[in-house]
Amino acid sequence: MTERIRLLVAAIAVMVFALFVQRWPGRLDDPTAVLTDAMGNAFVPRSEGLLDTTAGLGLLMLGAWLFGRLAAGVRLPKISAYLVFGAMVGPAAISLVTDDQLKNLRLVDDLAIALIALTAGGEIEFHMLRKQAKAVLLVTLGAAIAVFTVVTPTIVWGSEFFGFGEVESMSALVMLALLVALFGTATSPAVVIATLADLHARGPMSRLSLSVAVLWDLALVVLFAVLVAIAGPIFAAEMGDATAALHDEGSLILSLIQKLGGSVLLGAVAGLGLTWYLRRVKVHLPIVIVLSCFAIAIVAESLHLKALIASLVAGLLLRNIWEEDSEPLFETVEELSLPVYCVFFAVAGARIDLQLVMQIWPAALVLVCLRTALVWVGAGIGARLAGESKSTAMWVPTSMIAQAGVSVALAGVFLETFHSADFASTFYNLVLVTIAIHQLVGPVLFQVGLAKSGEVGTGGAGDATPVSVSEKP
Amino acid sequence: MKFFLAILVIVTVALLSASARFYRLRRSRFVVALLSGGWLFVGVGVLIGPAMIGAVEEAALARLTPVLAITLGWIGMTVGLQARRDVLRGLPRSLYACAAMDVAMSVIVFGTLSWLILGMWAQHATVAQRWPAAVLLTTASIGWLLETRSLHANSSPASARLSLCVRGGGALASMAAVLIFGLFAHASARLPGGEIEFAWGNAIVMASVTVLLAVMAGLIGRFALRLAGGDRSELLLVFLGLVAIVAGSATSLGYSPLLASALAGAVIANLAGPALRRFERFILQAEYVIASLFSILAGMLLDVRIGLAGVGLAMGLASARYIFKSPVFAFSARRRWDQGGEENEPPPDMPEDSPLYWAPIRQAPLAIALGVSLVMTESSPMSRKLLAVIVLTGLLTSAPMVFATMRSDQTDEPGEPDDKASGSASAEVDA
Repeated sequence: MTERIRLLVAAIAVMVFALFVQRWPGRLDDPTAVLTDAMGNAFVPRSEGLLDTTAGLGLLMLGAWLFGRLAAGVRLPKISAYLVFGAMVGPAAISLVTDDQLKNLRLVDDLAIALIALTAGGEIEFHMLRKQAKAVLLVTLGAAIAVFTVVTPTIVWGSEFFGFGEVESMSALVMLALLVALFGTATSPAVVIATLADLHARGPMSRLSLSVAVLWDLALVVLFAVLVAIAGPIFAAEMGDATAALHDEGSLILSLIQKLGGSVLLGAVAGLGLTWYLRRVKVHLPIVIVLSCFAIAIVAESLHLKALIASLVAGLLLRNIWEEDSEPLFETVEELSLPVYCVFFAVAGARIDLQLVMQIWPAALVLVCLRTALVWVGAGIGARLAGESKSTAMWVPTSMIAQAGVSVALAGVFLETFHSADFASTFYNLVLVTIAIHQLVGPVLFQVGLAKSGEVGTGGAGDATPVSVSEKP
Repeated sequence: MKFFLAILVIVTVALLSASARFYRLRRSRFVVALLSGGWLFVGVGVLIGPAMIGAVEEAALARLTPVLAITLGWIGMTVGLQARRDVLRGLPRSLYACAAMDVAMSVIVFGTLSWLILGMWAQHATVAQRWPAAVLLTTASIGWLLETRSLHANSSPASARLSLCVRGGGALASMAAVLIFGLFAHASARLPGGEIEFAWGNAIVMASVTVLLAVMAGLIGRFALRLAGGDRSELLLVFLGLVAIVAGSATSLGYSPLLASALAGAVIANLAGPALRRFERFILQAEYVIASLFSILAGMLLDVRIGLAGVGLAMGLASARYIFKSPVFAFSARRRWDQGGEENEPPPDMPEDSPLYWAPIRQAPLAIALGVSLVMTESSPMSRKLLAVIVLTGLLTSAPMVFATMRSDQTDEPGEPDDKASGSASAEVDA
């Protein structure tokens, strides 16, 4: 109890610190004055937003971490705490972090997206997937079919209720509904791995849960890229951008193949580069990883490729082809992930438009209930069809409820891609609120599922999963 | 894109240069001398920056403000973390004497010299306008480069003692430089109309607020370090978070990020307990790469168009270093300050003649950090020209040593490296 109070006091102290700095007049130059130096040269001072960004970064990092520790103390997921902290200090609430600062923190987004995808790729082990191919396929398909067939028409039918009333064309509405449904199928391998490691769980359900989570993560990224590529011209037409809308099907497919192929190639090159570095140089790994992630993000952006897919492929190749060389790299990625995740999720939280959330929370709640029920039923049926035991079929869907890293990253990519559209903000907030709710209930449900299937504590310390996890959300 | 790729290539070179493969190359005294001042990377920064080929444009450079603030905070915190009460109490008095005499001499000699030459360079500037520049040049002159390996000293106990004097005295002088610059460089304030005038009241308030921020951050840091324990990812988060929040807050208030983070480091050093050692070890691991990155950024920031007056200023400062630094250091180091002190046996005499007496001629790399700190708080052409003057002074004071070591490298068999190439204060004091 005392520790929790200390944590709370520390988190408040960080906020008071930031508040003090924000309110204290300091000695910033008057932006309207013509400034000259001692030699009479006129100059322009640096923008306040840019100067404040570093302090904002520190506040988000330390504050979110302390809040996460506080949440963990009362058995709540850390990611939710990071999101809540971000929302609390963001422009929509007490505004310790301003819009200007959030714009300047875009670099962190790029880094985090690449890092999350690299981690996700590193969690996919081919040999493990091959053993359970049928079960994994049927469980994921069961959940996906259930979610897509019910959520898509529900969104179209209730567009007003879900906040998409202003979308005029039916094709745009259907695309939005498909994208919402796609997010509905997303899971969180990081949560699955963390929970399995935490509870020392081992058994058929644990193995199947892990395989499903990582495989679906890969499929989700590819499907998202496909859907966004198809949706691009449709949304452009909805926004009145005629030139962007003039894409025939042939060029669309070609562009999609180019994007996917190019991204895979970029990922392979990045993987090769990292392997060479790990074999030949092997020093300052954290800095190399940060730079590699930035490099992937920058090259992908300039060549119109998908950084997420490229990083995922790099991680996948490193884990499965150059496994021995890549072990230190993934250990370092794990070390780096905490500060990056703290800032990334806190920034995501700070971007939540709380006013909009107040309007859409009933819709988000309906979506959460609908999705949970559909995933449970669909995945359960899939597991039964694959010949899994009753217990596994009953409880394996609990591993698919939590949503985190990749989902938030994809939501950010959507907002970035379609930022000029009115519906983008609604979509982003709806998805983020549902992710936050799922993140709150998901780990708890999975814990219950593992306990009911009798797999808790059967793995012994440290051997529950193929990869070790410490503080990954 | 061009900018990030340029940075990427450069940092990759920095990383490769840190690898085992390049270890043999780094054993050369010439390379040690070249790397220890960060000149190689400053040169690369100048080359790709707006001053030369322009791979990095002004707008992109401005966007790097947070990275600059964090690297400055990192430097400040490594300086501050050395200020542990038990360590400071245990240091021989001769080190304090060396540092104090150097500070006093620098303020009198270099302060006067800077003031006079600046008066000629910026003829129409008021006293208040010239003040920050003079404080910068004076504090940049305090201390020296701590690297000693390239100076060919023998391994006698007296020589080792003198080497300690170079390192310890220089580290203490660096702390003093950060403190003096942080307290006095911002004593002038800009009025809403743009004019500058002295505002000692503001300076006192600024100093008090900086101390307050540092104490708050130090207390948060102490708690956070205890929470993090030995977890490396949590240690990384705490360090980055603290540096960002302290240096960032000072930057956004227009105060010195170096001073704020150095004070926060000092508070943490004296409060953190057993967690501090892990924290220090962790920070030192990234030292070489961060120092290289900082040098590149500094190179990009400086304005090489300093004209004859700027070159004259740099030459004047360098000449003063050649004339005054070595004799004053030799005088303070040879005095038997420790007689009757804490040691049972009297310390050995300092060698009569040693190349280590020339060590204080070389300007401390921290001078560049002070210059960058001024650019951060006032991004004027003058600040960037002053940064160029500091870099040029450093080069003028280091180049003869580098060439001397190059010549002796051809005849000598180099020994094992005994200190870090980056030559930062923290590594030197640990050594």
